Amino acid sequence: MLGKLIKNDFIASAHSMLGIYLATLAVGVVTAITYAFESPAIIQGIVTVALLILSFAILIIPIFQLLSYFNKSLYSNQGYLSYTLPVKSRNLLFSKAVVSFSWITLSYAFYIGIYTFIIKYFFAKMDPAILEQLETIYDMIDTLPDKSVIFKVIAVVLLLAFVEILVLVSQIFFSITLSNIKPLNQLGGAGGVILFVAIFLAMFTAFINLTQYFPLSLYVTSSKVMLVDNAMYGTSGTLIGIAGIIFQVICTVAMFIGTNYLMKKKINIK
Amino acid sequence: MASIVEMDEIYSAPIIDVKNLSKSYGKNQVLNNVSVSLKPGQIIGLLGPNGCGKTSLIKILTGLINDYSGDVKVNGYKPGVESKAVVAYLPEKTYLADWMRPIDAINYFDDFFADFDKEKALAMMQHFNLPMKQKAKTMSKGMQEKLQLLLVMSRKAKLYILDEPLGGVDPAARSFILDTIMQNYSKNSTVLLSTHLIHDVERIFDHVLMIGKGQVLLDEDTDKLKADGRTIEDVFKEVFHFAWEVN
Repeated sequence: MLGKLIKNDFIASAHSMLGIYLATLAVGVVTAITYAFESPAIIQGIVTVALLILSFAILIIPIFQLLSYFNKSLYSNQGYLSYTLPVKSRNLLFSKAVVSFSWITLSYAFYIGIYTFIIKYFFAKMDPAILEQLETIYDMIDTLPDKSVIFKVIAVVLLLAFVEILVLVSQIFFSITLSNIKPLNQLGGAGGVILFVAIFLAMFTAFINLTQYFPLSLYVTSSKVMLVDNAMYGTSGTLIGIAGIIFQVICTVAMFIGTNYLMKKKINIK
Repeated sequence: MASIVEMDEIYSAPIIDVKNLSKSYGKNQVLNNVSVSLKPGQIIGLLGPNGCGKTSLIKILTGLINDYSGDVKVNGYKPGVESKAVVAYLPEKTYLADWMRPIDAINYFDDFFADFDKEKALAMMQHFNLPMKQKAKTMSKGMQEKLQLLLVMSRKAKLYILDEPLGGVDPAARSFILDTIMQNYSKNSTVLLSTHLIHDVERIFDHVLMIGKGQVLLDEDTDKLKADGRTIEDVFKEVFHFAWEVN
């Protein structure tokens, strides 16, 4: 049943999600053509700006669409169908989490792809020094004595990105579900947004404080990944607070469990 | 193989068993210590005026409301995965997503309900003159209701719960809906049909349950009620006139 839920959630959410990806792809292709045929600079500029705007939209719009899809499919009239399917509430939740996670990951991938394209073909054309800098980075990677480090760095960055996406998904699901329960449901549609902002800010503040007061961190540079004390490092690489990450993971698990509990015990479909 | 005694026990086990059920919305108590046990294989009328608690009871039976007190069993199970697998529910509201076309809705039901008969659904879709590929958002309310009715009646469910299927439709449509229900429900199953339009449907009921002010005011077989020549509508008027006076 879980597989069928995921399949149907993908089909349902695709109706609102595919438009933005197709639009971005179309503009991307047009942009590539203008560069390939060396169109006038003004045309290249216009399509590149359009692609740039779409790249921002592709990060933001899917989040709102997933927020809307989650709310509609569970807490509007469609909830009459979702909640009468012979499936456990945790499967309903898991399926929507998988689908949301996948779409947001795809959005990030599109965003990175677009920027790589723009930097390589547009900014580098405007300023050849950028292309030289890119080539320097490639050369640096080539000359690394142990190339496995670069994969470790990529793995850590990807893992952290996945954690952040899961945190975001759990915050959205928990806020919306909580806003559909008395007395918070009296706030209407704004309730979910207010709760989301409140939870996001509270978690962000806790994350900053934990990172500051529990100094164990992951130190990531292009050549190494290691556990360090904050006081000793932090000038030439990126420090990722371990305490903050652990806190986020615990909160994410708690919010998924909480959402499932509310769906199972407290939700009254109107 | 079950013995005759065991088979008799299985047959007579209540399809709906509710004990001391209470539900309130804030200070508004919609169900107050309701207890009722309904035998399978009947068409049961769940009758009462608007706002009497019929829909709340139905939502509890179908698992749409979970914060209540009391004991509720459907086919021997608390509302959950096992009960939902045997209950075909037609709510008052249209629950299909805007993008869904009849063929999508049929495939969706076919995915999730083991008792769904896809061939029957496709045949009913043609019979109802529903275009296979028209999106729900462009359909009229009547077309959407027809689509939901065919989805529910294409299941071979043990219990059909139909919440006000005749509300807000003209007499011709009422007749069409009733005929569809009567021609398509599985004969060994139970139908719980809620309505406040008794005149149109009383002929089909084997049993009626009248709810008012959150309590069961009458729980009786129609044969007994009609024994002295009264109609269900007459009984309804008597019961609710009395109920409004004491409340």
